[in-house]
Amino acid sequence: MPCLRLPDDAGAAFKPEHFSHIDQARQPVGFFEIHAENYMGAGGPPHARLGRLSEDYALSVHGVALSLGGPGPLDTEHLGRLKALCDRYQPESVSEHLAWSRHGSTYLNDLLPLPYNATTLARVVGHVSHLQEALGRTVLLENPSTYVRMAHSDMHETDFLAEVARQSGCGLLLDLNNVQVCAANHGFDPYQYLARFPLHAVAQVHLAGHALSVDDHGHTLVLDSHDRPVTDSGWALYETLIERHGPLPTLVEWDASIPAWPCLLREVRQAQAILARYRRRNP
Amino acid sequence: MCTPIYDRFAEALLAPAGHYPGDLFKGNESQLRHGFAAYRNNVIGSLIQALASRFPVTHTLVGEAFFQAMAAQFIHVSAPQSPMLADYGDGLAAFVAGFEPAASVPYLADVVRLETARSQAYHAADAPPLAAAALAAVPAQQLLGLRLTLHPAARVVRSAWPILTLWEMNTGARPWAELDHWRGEHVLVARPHLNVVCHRLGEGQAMFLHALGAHLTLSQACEQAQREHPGFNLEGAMVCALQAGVFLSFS
Amino acid sequence: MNARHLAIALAGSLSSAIAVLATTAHAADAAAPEKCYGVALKGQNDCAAGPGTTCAGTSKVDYQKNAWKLVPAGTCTQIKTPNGSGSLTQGPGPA
Repeated sequence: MPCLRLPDDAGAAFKPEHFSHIDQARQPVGFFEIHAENYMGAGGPPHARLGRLSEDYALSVHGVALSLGGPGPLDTEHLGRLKALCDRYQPESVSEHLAWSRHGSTYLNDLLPLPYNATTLARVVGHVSHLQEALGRTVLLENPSTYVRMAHSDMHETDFLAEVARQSGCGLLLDLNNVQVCAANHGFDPYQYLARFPLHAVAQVHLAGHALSVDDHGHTLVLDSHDRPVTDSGWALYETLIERHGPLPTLVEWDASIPAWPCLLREVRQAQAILARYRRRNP
Repeated sequence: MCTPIYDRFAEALLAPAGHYPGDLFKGNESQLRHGFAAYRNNVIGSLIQALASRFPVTHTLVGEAFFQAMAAQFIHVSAPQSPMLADYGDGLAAFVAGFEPAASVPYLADVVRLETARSQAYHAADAPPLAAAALAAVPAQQLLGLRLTLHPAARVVRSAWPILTLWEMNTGARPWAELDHWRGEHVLVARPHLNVVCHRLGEGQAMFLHALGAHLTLSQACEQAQREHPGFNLEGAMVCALQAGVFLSFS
Repeated sequence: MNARHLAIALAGSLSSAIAVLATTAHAADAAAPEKCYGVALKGQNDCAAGPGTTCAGTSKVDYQKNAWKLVPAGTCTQIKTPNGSGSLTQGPGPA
């Protein structure tokens, strides 16, 4: 399978609001990432912008709706749309989530949690393999943000991901914000999670901000909101990861309350500074 | 063993508030209830948000609280069947037309139809519109026998309400003013290149384009329009349509 | 003029209208600037797909409001209809 790869540099989530700014001059980002589902229409401005963008930058296509963790077979119609998008733009990276979002014929617009056990492992491996065969390339699977723990889990998430990667040959996308979200919600140490994570399979990192929700009983829940800057503890976790692994393609994600382009770029530069610091120390 | 877990999780997500499939989870119950509520709100909230962004004028017309409640009802009866959320809400106009709380805003369903057409045009396949020069090369005696294929982005929305004026006033494209003429408007939605553009059509023009879209010949479409609207002018209608980039090809 | 002559006349005038348009349309096409890639249409942007939209994930938001108790209360209240101002029927204020 062809082994395309994003540069070991920081990139940005592409938002159409930023297009005119980005289009004025070459931006100092290593790549842009898009949500696949936003570019599955037949034509129009989304494709005009993406076509323009892909001329100048490496591209990461991030799918959000394939339901790889779901019980049923993959939606072949949707898989066809993803393939058409990848064939058209030849992205350097294609990734999806360890989650499910389809129930029968209904599409639940969220990334829902699955139990981790032998049954679900076999199913996810099958789905990832199906996806890779259909696209004719390896894909990356992202660790999820979760708000509940499933009763029928008997495997640690990191072990589950390691096995999926080993059996299917896929790479992993390590979302550090998701690690922070889960650590806070399920009461574990994000550094211990990182220590268990199969870093050899990681080919991309996601960074983002999260929000805090407090219910009527005073219980707090951390939400994967992508609507604010990466926290200081998020940057510290990232620096630890880079120290341990070395430079990786790193995405700064924003999906809500989108800031002006210079604000987003500032976070991209912050990630680049951490990568540069590693390179200075490890020439 | 696993499939019922997904079924029960999904059914509880879409069920009225308070439904909580606790045995699917492990841990502190009140914490888990909070977590499950987050999923429920994500699903419903993100779909409401998807509809609000596809139907911004509809949203502005009825206001946030009403739109949310109306959208939640729509999602309940018509949950998305595909992850292509750009298409989600194609059935909203029909739902709004029968939605009793919206009966006081009788033009709302037609505004939804206009916004549906606009977003469909936005995502439609790219194609260069038929140039007048290509048609000018056809000998005059063959012209009226032609059948024209509409451009993939072209849509005609006919309404008994002034939907385009309402749309324009709510998007800032036209200043707010009292509507002296509360008359129906027929709208041609086109996207010859990248920008979606709306044009007002006369009744005859709307009927003419509709007939061409149904693959009648130019002369048949013209006759149909003239029968209902004796003032219909073929040259004028064709010049407007060609300028708006409504056609793709002819045969 | 019989129907056939009428059709010939119609075809003739349509043909010349199109010919006139064909000679002027070029200039108009070239003048259409679409450098903006069609941005800025609210509601037509990159939205609503996937994890980014989990921003709605606050358990405080109640999407189960009863629509039957609500009346439209947006800009429609400023629109004068043939039946008077605002909504066409009365109802209680927003719940």
